[in-house]
Amino acid sequence: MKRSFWEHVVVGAIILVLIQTVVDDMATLADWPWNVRRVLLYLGFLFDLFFSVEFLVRLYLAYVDGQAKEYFFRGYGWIDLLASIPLLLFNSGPVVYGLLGGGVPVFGMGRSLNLLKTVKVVRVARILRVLRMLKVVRRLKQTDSVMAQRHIGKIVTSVLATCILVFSIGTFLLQSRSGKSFEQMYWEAVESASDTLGKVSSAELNATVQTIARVLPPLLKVKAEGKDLFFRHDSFYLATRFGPYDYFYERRGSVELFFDYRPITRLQAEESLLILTMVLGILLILLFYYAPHFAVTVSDPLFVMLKGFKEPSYNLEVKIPPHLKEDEVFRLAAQYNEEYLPIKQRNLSMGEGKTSDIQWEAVSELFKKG
Amino acid sequence: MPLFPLVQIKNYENTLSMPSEVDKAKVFLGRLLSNPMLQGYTPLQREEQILQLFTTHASQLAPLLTSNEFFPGKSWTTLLPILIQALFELTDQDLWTVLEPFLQSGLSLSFLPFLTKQAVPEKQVRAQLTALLKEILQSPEGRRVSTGPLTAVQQGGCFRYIDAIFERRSYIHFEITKVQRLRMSKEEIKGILTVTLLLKSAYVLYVSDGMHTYTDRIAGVIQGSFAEKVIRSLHKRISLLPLSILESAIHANMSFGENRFIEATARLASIFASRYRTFRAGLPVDRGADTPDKSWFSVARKNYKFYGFDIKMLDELYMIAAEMGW
Repeated sequence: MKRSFWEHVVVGAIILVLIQTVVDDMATLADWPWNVRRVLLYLGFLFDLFFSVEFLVRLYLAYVDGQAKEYFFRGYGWIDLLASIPLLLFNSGPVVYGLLGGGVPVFGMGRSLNLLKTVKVVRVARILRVLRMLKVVRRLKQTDSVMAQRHIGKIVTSVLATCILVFSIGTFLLQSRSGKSFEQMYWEAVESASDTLGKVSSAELNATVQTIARVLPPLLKVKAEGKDLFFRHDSFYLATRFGPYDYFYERRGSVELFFDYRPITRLQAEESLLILTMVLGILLILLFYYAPHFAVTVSDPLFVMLKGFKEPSYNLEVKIPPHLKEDEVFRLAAQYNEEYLPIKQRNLSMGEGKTSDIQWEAVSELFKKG
Repeated sequence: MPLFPLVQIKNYENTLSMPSEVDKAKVFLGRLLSNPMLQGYTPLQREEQILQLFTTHASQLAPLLTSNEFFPGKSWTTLLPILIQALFELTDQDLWTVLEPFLQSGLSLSFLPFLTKQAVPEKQVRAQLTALLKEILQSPEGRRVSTGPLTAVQQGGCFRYIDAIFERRSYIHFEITKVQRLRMSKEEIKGILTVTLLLKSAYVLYVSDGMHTYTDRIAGVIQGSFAEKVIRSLHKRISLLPLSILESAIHANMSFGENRFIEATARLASIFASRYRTFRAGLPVDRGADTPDKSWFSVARKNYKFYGFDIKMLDELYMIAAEMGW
């Protein structure tokens, strides 16, 4: 009872964290106010913490029962691990730590500390959250057949896990590759603007800033010797729309530059939504197209034959779709229909093997009740 | 293997059991009969299931039922007749609650004037039919051979095939209207089929213990000479019914393979009585399985020689079941 309740809580949390992930990405794309996005970040952290604790508790309980290996490999513990602790360590954990630690000092310190790269890895790691959907899949009762559940579970898990991991690792590896991607062009533009403004003379600085600001929308603010030379938005807009990791800071001599990082996070949010949509699409196709196909072609005919062998009065034939009659399962079913059932019927007519439909267990229950 | 210990059942009427013992047995049987696995069965089918349970689980039931808690001091040999008596009484109670009103008013005898060409006192026919059925159902053998035909009548599923047969106007229709010359509406044909089914088991009244083994007596296939003797005797008992109806009813127990003259209604009754013997209403069809009627007719087609069925009729009924999804 308690276990069942706990399982329901976990499934509920998985569904909620996926909703949170989608809403968070949409919030980034739609440029929602920072205070709303901040709440979403804290929620993500709480979910990651919850699943990390859940994984550790499960692993511990399995270890106590001597089933740790069984849980990790056959019980899909590896999914629980990938979808919990790495996310806490590399995704929501650093973000929340940064927010609680003052935000700007950590995230707005500039690229010299390579924190922006960390933020990027964090965003990529969010894709691993989709792995949690596999935990929901494992709990789906698609068919009555244990074999069908296992087969479909294996296929769904392997296909989705491959997609997610390939996408995650691929994205991580590709970011270090040289090339003219949007991100590369973004960083080149930022680098070029910073260098230019760092080298220009004081007399030309103001005009150069204005020129660069026109062609470089991510440039938010320029300060020189403590004075504001340029700002794209008023301070209210900056305070309400920008979070600590939505911008970064560069310094070239006496010139301080603030750049908008949101174009990059928008790109990552798009990627995240894309992979989530792809995973959902694959999942739906496997569950609603492949699973019924497996049932019709494998588990259902076997179930009917097994029931016919076990129950004396069960005499329904296996339905054989004409286009599948050459399948081994249906060739076996044809033998069952053509040979076994007629013999069974004749034997029953002669009184052989005839038994009551009432199970003895039900009768013995009557005696227990007195 | 006998269906259940014959000697004990045969003497159940002679067993002097205290009413309290029978009542006590009824309480136990009432709980058995309410088993969900028996849902969708008619009273006679349920009775057969319980008797089957007594046979297959006698070794487990005997020590439990003869214990101090239930029937102290009884042996299984003395207890079984009490249980069977109680079971028959419970079954009769359920069976006749439905059958009596049906025989008195529900059964359509509108076919009688077509066959006799004169007015027939329907009330007396109904009374004769009721009395005869009560007599048939007094013996265990009569109850067993009546399970199929009475279930067919009670469930009524076979009559939808008459509608389909008249719509198709194929082999069975030709056999009924042209060969058997029953030129009447399908409603009258349904009436004839019903009476044929009701009287089909009447032959057990003329089977003496020495004539056949118990299995033979409930096997449902009889020889031509015996059938003619039964028809003559029956005609004397229920003289108001046309001879052709009695012939149809008794011939329904004969093999068509050996007796090609058997009436179409007799052949249909033979098939439907067999089909409804194990029929269970409202049974869900498992995914991957064919529908119950289609499955049954398909298997029956392969066993038609064994049961003495008309293969062409089975083919048509199979086609109907397949087309209609029955």
